[in-house]
Amino acid sequence: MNLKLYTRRGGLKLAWVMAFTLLSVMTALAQLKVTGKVTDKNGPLPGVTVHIKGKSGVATSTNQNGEYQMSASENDILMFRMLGYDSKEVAVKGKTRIDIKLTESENGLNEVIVTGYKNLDRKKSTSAISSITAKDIENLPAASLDVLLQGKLSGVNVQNFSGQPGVKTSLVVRGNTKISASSDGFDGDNLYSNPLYVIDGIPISDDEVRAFDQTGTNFLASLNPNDVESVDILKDASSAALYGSRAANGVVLIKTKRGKIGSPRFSFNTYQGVVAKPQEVSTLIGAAERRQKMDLIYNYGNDAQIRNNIPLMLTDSLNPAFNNNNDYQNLFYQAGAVHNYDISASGGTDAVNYRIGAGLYDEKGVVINTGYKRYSLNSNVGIIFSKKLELITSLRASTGKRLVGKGKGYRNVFAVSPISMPSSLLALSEKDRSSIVDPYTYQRNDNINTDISANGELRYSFLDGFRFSTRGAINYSTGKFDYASPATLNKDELAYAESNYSQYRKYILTNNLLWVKTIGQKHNVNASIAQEFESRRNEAIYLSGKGIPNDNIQVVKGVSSANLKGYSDLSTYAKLSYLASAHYDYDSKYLFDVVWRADASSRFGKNNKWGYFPSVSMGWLASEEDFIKKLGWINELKLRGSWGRAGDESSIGDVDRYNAYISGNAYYPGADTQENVTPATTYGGVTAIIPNYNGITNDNITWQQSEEWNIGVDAALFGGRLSASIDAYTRSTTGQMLRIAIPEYTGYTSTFTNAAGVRNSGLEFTFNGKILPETSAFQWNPSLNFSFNRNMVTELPNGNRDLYYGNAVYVVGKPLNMYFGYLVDGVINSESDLITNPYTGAVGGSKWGALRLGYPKWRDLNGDYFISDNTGQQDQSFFGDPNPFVTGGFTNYFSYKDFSLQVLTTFTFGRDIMNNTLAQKLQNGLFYGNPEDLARASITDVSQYNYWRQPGDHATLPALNPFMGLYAWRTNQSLFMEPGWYIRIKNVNLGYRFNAQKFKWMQNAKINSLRLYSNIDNLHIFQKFSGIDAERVDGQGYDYGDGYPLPTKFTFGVQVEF
Amino acid sequence: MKIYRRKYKTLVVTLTLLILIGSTFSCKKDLDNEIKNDTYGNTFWKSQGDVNGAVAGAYGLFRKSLNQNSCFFIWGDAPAGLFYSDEGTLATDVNNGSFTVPYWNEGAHNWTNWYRVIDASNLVIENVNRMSDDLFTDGAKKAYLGEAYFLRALSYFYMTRVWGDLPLQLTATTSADQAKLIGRTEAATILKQVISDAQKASSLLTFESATANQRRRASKGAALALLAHASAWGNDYPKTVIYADSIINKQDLFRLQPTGTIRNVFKDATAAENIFVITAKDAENESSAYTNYIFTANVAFLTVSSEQKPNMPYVKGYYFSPKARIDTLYKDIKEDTRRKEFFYDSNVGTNKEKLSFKKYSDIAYKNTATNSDPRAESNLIIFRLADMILLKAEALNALGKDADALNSANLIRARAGVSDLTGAGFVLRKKILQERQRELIGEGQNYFDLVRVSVNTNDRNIFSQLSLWSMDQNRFNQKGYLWPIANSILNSNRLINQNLWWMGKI
Repeated sequence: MNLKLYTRRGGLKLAWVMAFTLLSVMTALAQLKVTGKVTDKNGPLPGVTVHIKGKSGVATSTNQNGEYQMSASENDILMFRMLGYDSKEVAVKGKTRIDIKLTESENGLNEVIVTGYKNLDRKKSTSAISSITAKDIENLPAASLDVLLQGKLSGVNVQNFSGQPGVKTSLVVRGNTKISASSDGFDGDNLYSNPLYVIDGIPISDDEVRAFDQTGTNFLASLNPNDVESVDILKDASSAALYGSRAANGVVLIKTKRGKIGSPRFSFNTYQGVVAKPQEVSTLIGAAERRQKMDLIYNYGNDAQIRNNIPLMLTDSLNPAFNNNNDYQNLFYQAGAVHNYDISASGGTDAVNYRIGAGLYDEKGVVINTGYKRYSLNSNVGIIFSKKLELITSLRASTGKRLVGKGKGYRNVFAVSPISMPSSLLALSEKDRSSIVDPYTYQRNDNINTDISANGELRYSFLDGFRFSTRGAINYSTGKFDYASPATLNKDELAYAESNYSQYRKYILTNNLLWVKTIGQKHNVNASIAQEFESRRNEAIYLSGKGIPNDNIQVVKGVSSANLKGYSDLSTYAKLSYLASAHYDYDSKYLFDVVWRADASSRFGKNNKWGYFPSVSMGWLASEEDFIKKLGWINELKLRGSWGRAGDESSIGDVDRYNAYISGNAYYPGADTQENVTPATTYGGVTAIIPNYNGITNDNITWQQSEEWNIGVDAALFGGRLSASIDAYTRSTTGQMLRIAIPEYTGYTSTFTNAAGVRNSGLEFTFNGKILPETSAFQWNPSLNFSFNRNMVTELPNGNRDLYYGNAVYVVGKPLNMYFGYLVDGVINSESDLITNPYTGAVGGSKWGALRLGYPKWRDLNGDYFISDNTGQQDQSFFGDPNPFVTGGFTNYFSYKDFSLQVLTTFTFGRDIMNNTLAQKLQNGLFYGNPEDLARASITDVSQYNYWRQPGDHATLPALNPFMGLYAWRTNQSLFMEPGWYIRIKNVNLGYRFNAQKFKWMQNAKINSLRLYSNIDNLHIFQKFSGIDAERVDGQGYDYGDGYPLPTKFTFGVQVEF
Repeated sequence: MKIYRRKYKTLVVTLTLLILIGSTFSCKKDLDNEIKNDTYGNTFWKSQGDVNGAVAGAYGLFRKSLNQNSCFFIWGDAPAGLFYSDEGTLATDVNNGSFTVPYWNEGAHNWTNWYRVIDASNLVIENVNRMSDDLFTDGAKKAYLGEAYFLRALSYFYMTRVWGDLPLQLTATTSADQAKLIGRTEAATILKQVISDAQKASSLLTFESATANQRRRASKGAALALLAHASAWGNDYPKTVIYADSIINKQDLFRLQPTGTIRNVFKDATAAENIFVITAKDAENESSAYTNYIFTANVAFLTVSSEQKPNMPYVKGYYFSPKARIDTLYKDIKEDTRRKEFFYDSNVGTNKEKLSFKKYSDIAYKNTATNSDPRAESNLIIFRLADMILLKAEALNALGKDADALNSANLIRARAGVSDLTGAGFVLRKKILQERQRELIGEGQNYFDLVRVSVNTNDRNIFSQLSLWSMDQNRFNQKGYLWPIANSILNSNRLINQNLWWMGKI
């Protein structure tokens, strides 16, 4: 009741009144009037907050000329604070004029890391944490934050396997641990373990969003990267244990910008850019194609073959049906564009602080009819009612629409796939052309996500050092996928439309009691206990219909009931957690941390509902010791070590623990789930109900756990000119959930069980340098990070039997996702390369005929002089390693006066990838040894490869013989494995900052700061890989030419602040 | 200001307490996370409607088992040699006695689908017995139990004819702990179980339910037909005659279709000749579509040509019958009406020699304007009266009552408008088998007929005389007429061995 009255009157107004009242009371007590000027290396600094330490009531800020004026008493200490600068404290001690020079902070990192439960003091932290701030990620042309973290943080491996705007990339912290639960769930685009994201204290993970999501849009794309103030990655278990059951793969803490004490600031920022048309998959067109194909035919064909077997398509070059030069890729690729606008207002008094930002991001993709557009709003308001009571709120809302081209999913954006294109020689009439390209105009393919999240935390301080806080958070997201295609495009000539809707709702309540106390000056204690409850609800509606009467109707409407299918869905999740954590340090030198968390998740049956996640860590701040201090050149030196355990429940669904019966399943071949078919739901008109035979419940299923050891050292040397951080870790993940077979006569094929394990171990290095002294007008600050990681399967079901999922293999003692196929040692270049049975003298054979010159030199693994994959003759095996051994980035920041230049280079070394594009393209024309196939398929420019043409060649690729039909061009061969390393000039950013002191017009216009910048994203890639882009490979290292290119973007932007 | 602060304090404390209490209460319930988008064992089995759904589910699973890779056809017809294919060696190797059938093996070698029917039936048996009688309308409880026993018996009967010895699973599995490794039980014991279940079904079911259920769910007639078949399979021909007669004599319910209308049994489940069929009506949204992949397609897309029905995938049928062979089979001094009723003669050049099949030609088109998106909706016949009459003839012949056997068989001959059969003993046995081929071709019976008669008479030559391949003595001794078991089954259970003749062959 009272609260209502209070807000109705206008909290802001009241707060102002309160502030002024306090101010006037204080003024009456003060004896001194202090004035002064605040400057930085460029001159006067406006907008600096000046307040008295310990007296939250008194504050002012500097004016245009950097001058301030305030009343203070003899013993007060003045504090000068400004975002992006190191804070300074000066004791008044009777002075009436205090001038101050602030220096820009080195990394802009906050001293505290906000975890949502307690704040960690960065200096006293005993965990392995990588952090970046807004400066490193703002104004880069990307829809989501994860893309921007590439190469910037040690231990964080970001690989962009798709350049499609708004889709998820892979962000893996300290090595991949994911093994798909079953081979049918194996998805090359989704083969990575995901960390837990915590946005402003609210945890959100990929699995909870993905379960029902309709659109496939990256949930992080709902967050405007320009609203982000900092990102901290909790890599080891000691801090991750705070998040217990979901932190096994690391935690990414994202904090959005909040208002600071000071006069209101308005800022406007925009960048505009073009996206270059991407590089096409190498393809010969027109006469060049004909020449190359004829060359292959004449080179390999014998007389009879050349007489009888040359396709008409190639010989009849005058025939208008066969003498074209269609560049199919050109139909789909285009130059894209990117536009971004942000406005924000921020400020604060001692009673309220606020920042409200709005943004628009619009990217037109480089493939026609693809793109992403997002409107976003972020509002963070804090109200300080009194010294004891504080309310912190944040609100985020955004809506984004993604266009996905032709199909669904990350691939399928092309109507004519670049890896299975027909010959360019074929005639493409206007009608054909429009049937390929025009669907993009007629089809509706909208993916719209709307996200709202809000949270409020009320903090109440009492007694000596206690604080109780209670926080409520709400997340609400909807995803909508609408698809419509006209009658002419469908095989059954019936117009089709579908409309799918999903809604995701979650709330979290956290009660937290914190105690911060220094006892006897040297014993520092920071302890908290918390209770948290989380509840989620996923709902979805699916609707589709065929036979829509008119093509102009792009919704499901006017459909007869027999052709209408649809259903709705619902699942819920709940989690109850208790958390206790304590930090103790002695004299800020010897640091101890303990965390213990217990989670009960509704995903598990009553046998295993509770999981317990402890961690302990220790640190020694050696630089606080006198003998180190004496050395002088060591500014900070910390040694730390930790052990902890965290969990993961992402591989089990919300209701997987139930032995559910499925209603309306009378599926049988031809009447089951497939495109344009309504599955049979009844038998004889009666709705059929059957147990879900895909898997039987296992009452003993439990958490997947990871146990991690970490030791590290942080150092800042030579007055901060060099800082370094080195970590070594080993993380054992056990109890990975897998589907294992159970006897068929139960009716079930599998059950879920905790059966596999993976170990990741590695080393991480971060170095930041400041090459030139602060006095120099020219500055060069390089920073380098690189991480080594080795992963290894440690446990598999069925007594560690090898596990085969499609083309991926898991073997104990080997890395994840190895390739499976024939091992090829080059080409049979000479008679001596042929496999010969020494007993009979017979030349070895293959499933596809006797071996001869020009064939791949397959390795006969089982020693039977016969190459085959038949049972008992198996010559396929596992090989290669698609997991990178080293990843990292190298940033160089240069500045000269008001100019700045930043160059980011990212790199990945030590992995193998498969040139699947080449394999597929060659396979299209050569697989069956039929020259007609060769004629019909498009062909890559093979002249760049050293392939076998005639006896005596020393070739590295086998014969491209159109008559051979040896099935040589199957994809699963080590023949197509190539080095997957790359170095990418990821980003070049050039900026110029107008100095308000130099330009009168800026002062007149009340412009505090003005910055122009220009950015080139994805400038160049250095690689040995012979395809287009060694980064754009799926989780298993397969390069797909039909995937979405990673384009180069050029942008130009302006940032103004009033 | 002070007043405000005090208010805050009270407010905070109250709010906190409320939240704490509230969340603790809601937690307990939410953590149990009741499933709401599906039902499950503990919440099911509460009403007659639940049971009806579960029984329909079991029929649905049975339909799936039959249709997976069209296995009823691949087992029952392809090896009998009346169907050929031009589409590569993979398609034909089944009619030369090699049962490896790559690409069809998922359905033909795998028994998982069948054990699902058994598990669903076990669930019905266990739970319905537990349910109170009050929950059911008169007689309904018995009927559902009868249907479940029938489906369990029928599934085991299919499987034992295909694989011989089988793991015998008579209880439902509801958690992973219950999945224990067990080995195979002898075929004779399986057959005993089939007969005992079918007898239970027969006593629980009524003849009248055939009409009520439109002959697409089990009735007493269906159970008796199964008993007739199972006893014949077990070489207990006297029983076969009794069971067959109990159906044949039920003339108010079961009558032969008039001459020239036999195809009606595929179109109309309620046709008087039908005893038990599996339906797939398009009107009920149960028809099946062709989705560019022949190995999983309905038997209609394999056998009905695009000349017969527009937009079918094959011009002469993926499987067709050679005209010469069919003409020989149906050769008689009079015209056999079945020749025209079951086979389509093409007018087009080379296809004239390749007859496509008409039994499964009930096709609905989703787009009636363009006849595109064809859907197969013919019934799959499990038992019909003609089958019973011919089975009775076979039994009478085996029992030495050739005159009665001829009377019986000639009922079918007369209906087809052809002259009566003559002969006795072994010659007649072959003739009756041939009559079964003429009448029941494509209905998944012919190969099992060969196996049944050759095993019962210990005469392997029937294979060479009536199919395209011969059964050598060694293969016959090692039960090489059985089908191989999928390697995946053998790999996951060391207690299960491959059928003797197939060891090391697949």
